[in-house]
Amino acid sequence: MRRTWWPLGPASVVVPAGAIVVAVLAMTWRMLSWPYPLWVQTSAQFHQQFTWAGMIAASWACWYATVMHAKNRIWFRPNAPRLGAPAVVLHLTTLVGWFVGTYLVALLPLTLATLGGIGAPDPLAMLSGVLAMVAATALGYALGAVVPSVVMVPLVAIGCYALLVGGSAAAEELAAVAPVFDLEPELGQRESLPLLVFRIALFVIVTVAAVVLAGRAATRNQSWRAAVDAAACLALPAALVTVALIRPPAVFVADGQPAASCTEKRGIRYCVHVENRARLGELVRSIDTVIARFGTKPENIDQVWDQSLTFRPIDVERARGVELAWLEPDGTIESAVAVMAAGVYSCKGGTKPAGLITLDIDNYLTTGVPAGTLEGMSVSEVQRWLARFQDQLHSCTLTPNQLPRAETR
Amino acid sequence: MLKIEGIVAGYGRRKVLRGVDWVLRPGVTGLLGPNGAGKTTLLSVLVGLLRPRAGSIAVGDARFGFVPQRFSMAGGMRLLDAISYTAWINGTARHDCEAAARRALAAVDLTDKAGERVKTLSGGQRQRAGIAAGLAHEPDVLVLDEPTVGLDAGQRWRVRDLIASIGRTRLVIVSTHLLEDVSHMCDRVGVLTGGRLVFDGTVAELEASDGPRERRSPIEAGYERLLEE
Repeated sequence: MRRTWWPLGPASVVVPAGAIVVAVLAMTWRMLSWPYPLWVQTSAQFHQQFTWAGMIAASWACWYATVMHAKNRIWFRPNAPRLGAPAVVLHLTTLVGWFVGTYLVALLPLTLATLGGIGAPDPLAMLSGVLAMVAATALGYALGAVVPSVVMVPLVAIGCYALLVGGSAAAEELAAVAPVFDLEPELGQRESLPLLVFRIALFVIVTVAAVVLAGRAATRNQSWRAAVDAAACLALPAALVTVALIRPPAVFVADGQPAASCTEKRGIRYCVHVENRARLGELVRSIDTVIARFGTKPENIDQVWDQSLTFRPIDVERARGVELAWLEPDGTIESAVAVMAAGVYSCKGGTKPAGLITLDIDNYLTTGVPAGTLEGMSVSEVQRWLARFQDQLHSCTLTPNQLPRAETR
Repeated sequence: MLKIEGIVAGYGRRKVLRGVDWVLRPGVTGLLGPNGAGKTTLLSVLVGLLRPRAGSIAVGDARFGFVPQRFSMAGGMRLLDAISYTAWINGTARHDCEAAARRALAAVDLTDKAGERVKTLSGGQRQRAGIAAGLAHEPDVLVLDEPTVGLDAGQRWRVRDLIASIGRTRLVIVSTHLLEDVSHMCDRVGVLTGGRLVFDGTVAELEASDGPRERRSPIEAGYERLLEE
């Protein structure tokens, strides 16, 4: 019985399926050790990992079809009972089963690693990725059935690559069509419902059109008829793509107004997304080290917010003196507090003496070691200088005689 | 029995068959004719590859097996897989395909090659593999287009014997331009020329036709006289 399931032998499906597993695992391996996995990002990986997996699936399915549907095959007889749709369904069941099955198996470690992670899974985003794989396999197969020549295989691969490049170059415009997004959603965001519904509908329609097209192409021995069939079957997907290009739906939307978990230290208010509350202490420790080096509360920083709180419009009064912090799922916390406290942005690149010193102060706040123009000063001397001149520092109005060397002399 | 009535067929504006009537009976029937006579076109109409412009073919519930003159199997496929798949395409139930393929390979004496890849077969083995593919779904009618072309003498003998033995249990139609093929394996013969069937009878009847016998075999003489007429 197996001989009809994979007439080209087990290797014809196991080898590409193995390549899909390797490609997906290689791309997601580093994410498995992240201490704060996000469901919204893991859900997105179900379509982001299409990058290599989709190309492998589509190209291999195309090759498979060129082998099975060459018009001089001994089994090619247009009125044979199972030559058209039954053969196509049989092949695609095998190909999709293996390619999409192993794609899901390869994503299983990441999914398991995210159990207990932050947020909740997004089933529609996951489904859209699975359907993108199904559609790519079916479309690659259909193109191979329409033009059963190995020349089609690299063309399909190039087409997949073009879709990826297009998705990166025109992220907003092509997000509804290109399976892989340029950016990934973060905590506080999700993929928009209109986008997901559109993508799911598009991938389903592409799959159905590809199956119909392949079924017809498999029984045609005249290339012009296959071309007419291709135009007829791909008209609806093409129309949908055109609509999406004219009126692209929003890619990401912010979650409802997120609850914040806050605390205060040295006069600075720290707030994180409620789903990140376990990391509030970590955020305070990370930023307070910089504040401690500064010596007093920098006057231009009143609050430090988790960036996840900022996807919705915020009242200007509430956001006064806010600096953002990025609480990454890999455990790192990024912020520009040291840069802002040093006044680096005030002097835009630091070409004047007042600008140059901001870079040295930024370095000191990051490392705790006075260097450059601060060389030779003790930490307490630096802190006294900062307390005295931070207004000038933040407005880039330091005069030469206010610089630290002048002060110490 | 297979009844063909008034078949007209061609490609584009070119009319190749101009009204063919023929009644085929069990056994091996040869279809003779010079190049371009329309043999392949008639076989294509018979097996459904080409739709006739006029005429009808009464086949009842007969199932057809077809081995075209030029065919391929994916070179990397194992022979048993290729034959099983062809049987499945032609309607054999999935769970019966492997057994049917093994029976067909046994019939063409290729059982020992079942596990080999198609690309490793010799020309004669490949031709017999094609016949196995045509037989695997146990058709009532087996149609073979020039099955001995390109084979060496030994391979040709083997294929002829095979076709003759298949003809003992089913209706076989063999298109050929080799008169030896007809004389060695056919019970009856039809001669197609100019898009019409000009002879339908036994091999002995074709041989009985007059002709200069000093250079030619009886069948050649009869055949040439028909063409001249």
